[in-house]
Amino acid sequence: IQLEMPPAPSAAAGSCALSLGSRFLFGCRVTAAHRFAASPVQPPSPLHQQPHLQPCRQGRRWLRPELRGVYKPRLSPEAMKEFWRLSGIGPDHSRAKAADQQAEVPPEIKRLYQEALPPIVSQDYRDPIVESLHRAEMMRRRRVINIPEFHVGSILAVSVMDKHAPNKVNRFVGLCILRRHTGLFTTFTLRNMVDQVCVQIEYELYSPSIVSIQLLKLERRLDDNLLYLMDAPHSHCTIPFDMVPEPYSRNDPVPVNRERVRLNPPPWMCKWHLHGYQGIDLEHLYSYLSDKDVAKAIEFSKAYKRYDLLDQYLNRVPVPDADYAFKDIFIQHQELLQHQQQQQQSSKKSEVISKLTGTA
Amino acid sequence: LGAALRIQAAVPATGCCVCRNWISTTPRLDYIQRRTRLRVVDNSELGRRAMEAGKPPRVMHVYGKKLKAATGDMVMVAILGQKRRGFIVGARRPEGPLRPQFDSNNLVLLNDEGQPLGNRILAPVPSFLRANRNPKLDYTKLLAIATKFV
Repeated sequence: IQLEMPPAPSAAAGSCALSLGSRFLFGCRVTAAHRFAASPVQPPSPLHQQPHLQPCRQGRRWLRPELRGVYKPRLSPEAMKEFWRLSGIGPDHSRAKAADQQAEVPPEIKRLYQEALPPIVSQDYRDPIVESLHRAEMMRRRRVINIPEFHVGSILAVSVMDKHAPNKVNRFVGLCILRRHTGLFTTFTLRNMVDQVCVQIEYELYSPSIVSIQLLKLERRLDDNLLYLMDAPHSHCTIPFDMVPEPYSRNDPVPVNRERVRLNPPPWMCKWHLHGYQGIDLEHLYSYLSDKDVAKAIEFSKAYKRYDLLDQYLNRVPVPDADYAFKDIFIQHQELLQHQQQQQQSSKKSEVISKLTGTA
Repeated sequence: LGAALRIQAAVPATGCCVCRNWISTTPRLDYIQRRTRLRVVDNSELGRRAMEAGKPPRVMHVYGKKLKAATGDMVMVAILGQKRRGFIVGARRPEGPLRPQFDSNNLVLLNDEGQPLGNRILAPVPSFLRANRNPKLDYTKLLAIATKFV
């Protein structure tokens, strides 16, 4: 469903909020009136008084450090311009202008750069400059290491620098069960069975400790995470360490593995029937549950959330922001391809030179 | 490794998945603490007997002036009526990037001198343990009997 953007708070209100240095106490209800008591501007529209700061039964809600709204002192316009010049971003920078003028990006960009989307957090904790810097850093890292396109359900081999390992490199092969976070701190988790014991390791996609990420099998599953494999027979996540990479074509759509997994008998780590997983054999799952639990699961799967506009507003990236992010990435993607071509040419050149001069 | 034991797991806090559903649950029992049952992963006679009898070792005490134990900590366990020291080589709790998380809490039994009782560790051992950082225990011999590092 395409939602209409709610009326955004005026720029003055937004900057006023920043300059007041509002620090939100997690776990407390903060009303708009309290926040904007001292300012002459209008409080934001009612949609922004929504429950991102309501008391949470689980206790303190912990936001990742790069998303916390920490008070930052305002910079003078000259200092900001200098910062923008050094970092290569900002409203006058050519890349930002080019992104604004960019037409629709090809769909393969959205496949390759899923983590380029801004985080799904309330607007108070989002900083477009930080997001722009993250994207730039991500593309710089991609010049050093090839990060393949993969989805949850794909099989990867990751080599990591390890000073304690005999070759200084530690290689792990596994099935990707989870992809979390966005931007520079994107992580993915691989699962595999090693010596009759199942192991899960989380890797940060853009960590400089990673030596190589090799895609062994490109595949998708019916769910966006496969955490239920923890309660499934181990045969579902057993991948041989010496698996040969399967070739795939970039132009074909990603194959979907429609396998439905039969879980082990309960007790389970989590109430898998209440999360809307499509990749679990539901008939087999319900056979373990009481009638009451089955009714709850079916009630959940009725997908009434489709009509919950607020849930969608809070749990989606605003369409203009997503578009801008992908356009920005697309421009840098083209620069990356140019860079790779230049590198290939220069390596061919150096090969030719070394042949002519007779060096090894 | 002996009889397959269904060790009762605590329900993890929901909202850790990408699907954002908040369901009221008890808080997650993340760490290994007193009364936690562990899985012996070496080939010692005592460990093998305990796991086959369906009586896994229970943590009695965590060394190092703390109440919670994780991978790389030494604990005292009660196993088949005896008190033994053990070293945790794998935990269910996620440790963070580049550190493996296992499906069971794995233990290697030690004698009073801190030397392992068995002569082989049958489960993979996390690679970061090779830094040998526990102030209470020098577990070099333990690393020597490990078969696979992850």
